[in-house]
Amino acid sequence: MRQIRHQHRRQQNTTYHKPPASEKTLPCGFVPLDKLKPGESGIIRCVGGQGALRRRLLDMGLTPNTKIMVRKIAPFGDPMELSLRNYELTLRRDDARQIQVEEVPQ
Amino acid sequence: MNIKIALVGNPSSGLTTLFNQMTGGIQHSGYFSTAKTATKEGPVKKHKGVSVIELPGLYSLSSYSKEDLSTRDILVNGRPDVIINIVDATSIERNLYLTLQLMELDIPMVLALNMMDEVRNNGVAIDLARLGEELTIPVVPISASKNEGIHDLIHSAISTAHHNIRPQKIDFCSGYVHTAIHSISHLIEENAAQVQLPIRFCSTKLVEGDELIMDELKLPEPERDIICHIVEDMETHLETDREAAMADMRYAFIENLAKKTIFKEAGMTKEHLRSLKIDAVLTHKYFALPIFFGIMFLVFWLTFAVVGAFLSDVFSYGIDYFTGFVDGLLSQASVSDALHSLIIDGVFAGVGSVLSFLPIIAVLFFFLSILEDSGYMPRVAFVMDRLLRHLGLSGRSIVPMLIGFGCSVPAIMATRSLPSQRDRYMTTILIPFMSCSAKLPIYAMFTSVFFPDYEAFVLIGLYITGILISILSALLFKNTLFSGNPVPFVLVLPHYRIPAAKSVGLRMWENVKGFIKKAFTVIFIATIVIWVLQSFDLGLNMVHSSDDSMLASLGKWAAPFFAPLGFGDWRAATALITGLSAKEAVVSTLAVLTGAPDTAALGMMLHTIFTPLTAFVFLCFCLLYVPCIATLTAIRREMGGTMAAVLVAFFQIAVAWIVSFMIYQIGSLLF
Repeated sequence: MRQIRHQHRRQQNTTYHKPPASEKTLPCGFVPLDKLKPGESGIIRCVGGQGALRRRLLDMGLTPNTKIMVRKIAPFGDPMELSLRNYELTLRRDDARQIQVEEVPQ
Repeated sequence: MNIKIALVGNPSSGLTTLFNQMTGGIQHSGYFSTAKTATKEGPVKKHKGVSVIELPGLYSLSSYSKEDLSTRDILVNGRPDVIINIVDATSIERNLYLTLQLMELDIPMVLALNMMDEVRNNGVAIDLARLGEELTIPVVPISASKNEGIHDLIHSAISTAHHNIRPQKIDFCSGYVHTAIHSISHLIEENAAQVQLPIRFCSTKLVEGDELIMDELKLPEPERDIICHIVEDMETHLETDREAAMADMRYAFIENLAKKTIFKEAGMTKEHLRSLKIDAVLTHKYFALPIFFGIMFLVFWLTFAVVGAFLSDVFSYGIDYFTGFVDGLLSQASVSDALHSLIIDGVFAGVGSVLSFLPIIAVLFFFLSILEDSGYMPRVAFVMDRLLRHLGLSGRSIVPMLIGFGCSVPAIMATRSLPSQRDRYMTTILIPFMSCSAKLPIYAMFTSVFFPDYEAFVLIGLYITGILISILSALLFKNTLFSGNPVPFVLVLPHYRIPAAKSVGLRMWENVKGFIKKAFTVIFIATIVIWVLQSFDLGLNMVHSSDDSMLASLGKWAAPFFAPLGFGDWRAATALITGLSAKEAVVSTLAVLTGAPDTAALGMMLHTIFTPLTAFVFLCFCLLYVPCIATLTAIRREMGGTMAAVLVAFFQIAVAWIVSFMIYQIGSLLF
């Protein structure tokens, strides 16, 4: 029975290891990180994006429930400088959009 | 017993500083075991048979970037005897994330907790014994820049390797993730043993969804299905996906560990606060760009106009003096004319003219090392990224491009610091369009002869033409050859630090050494070849006037190629060919071929070869065509192949020809 269910699942979704974009960029109802202004903080709720980008974000410690603060925006409006886990990280706005945060009041 | 130590850690955690302290700066690029990429190896001071390999800084052993993969390959297949994992104690959470992955490789390992001086200064206490106990590996506190604890670290590493003490499996996972890892490790046990891969590493990577490990293990279809199923099960229960689940587990374990072992007051360290204050100015909304250009201007001005130029003059004087001395000796010894000419006109003139650039290269690298070690470079990338992204590059390419205005060779060497191969290659191809300082003598000669009233305009026009062509080429490449996905711009801004004199000095020496080596190999051979071509005719008889030489025949043969550009004279063609050895050779060749005794006479002679329009076209061609042989060898080294260098050369000749052709044709219509 298990085997049958499993085979069925594989046929349905042959690209199992790389889920389609829609599956991972689903909004989870919080604020995209790029909407935060300098000085504002939030708690990461979900990390979207795909492949190398998503993996890099997770590797750098942008995991759910981590507190993150927008420190500043680069002179030309992009990328943004973030502060988390006691260090400073820069991300482009397009990439930051994949991360959704719950705003923390000042 | 021979012991190989692998040095692994996050970028800017002190890898190079520690490597230099361990080896005393002696290093050679080696090919470690199975790896295809060159690694930096060196013998450990005062420990016979012990060598250390510095691997490029990385944050994770993922399979997404080529750089991470090559490091992974070196560790897994190269099997070092012991890993020293260097960890920045002031940013311990992010650093330990890599540590947890390294521990899974089942290789004896020691944790070097760096920057302990800063930790102490800020009143932070770390329970080292507890940390070591929890991680099941020895922990040695060090301060690489102050040379503290290095001795203990080396001893700890050697004894760990001797006794083959490997990290134990620590359970950083709980619940469903733990179950998944456990079940998968049972399933792949035999396959992992067969292909000799560490089983713990394989199981966690399989849970993360690492396709490469799946293929390397050569798992049969049914097993693959079961693994899929196990992971699916885990995802359903956790309501998250495999990658997030694993990263979350690792970071949760680290947070917990930090709580138990690190005791500090709330707030930032002094160094962190200082960094933020410096950044308030250096990456300021309005000041950032002027400050950046100011710093770059200062570096170039000091290098090319003040210190470097002075040293270069002194150096050239020394070379000239030595040349004269040898010349005198040869005359006294009455050696044959041919040999005399080969040594003085060929080797001394050729190698000497290139060597005179040595001080400039040393000074330029002195300043660039300071900029790099202080932590300013990532800020430049942060500020400039938006502009460069339009060209399909990232902010980090700006630094090598700027060095290119000085000299293409160090600029191309500087592309090594770029994070992706795609960016490295693209930047390398664009760098030669940045007009290098060796082309200035050509510009100076021609503008003073043909455009005496508009010298500055023509010069600036040439620089701008170079930049425009590089922008156009970047746009062309972005949509064709290098259309692949750029590596995400996820860049850490490390704290500003005062550069260590030792590391700046060593980096300078490394580049100087490379340059000297090149001068006495490639350039040495090239000058001999050009001398032979210039001194003999096709019947191999020594010629009195270079008009009859092989070089002239070559020039006459190549001249029709340049005729559509307006300068079909064989002397122009010959000058461009000799310009390949070094750009300054264009002027000296023209002087020799026209038989002009001095600069004024050369000016008169040039009027017989060029019109103002064709002179400008000639300058454009010089600006854009193949850089010197030194640059081509640098390209060959960085792009890993003669073929790549040949293709780049063809591309540049094609661009130079097409642009010059267009300028000439349009110019002919207008004037």
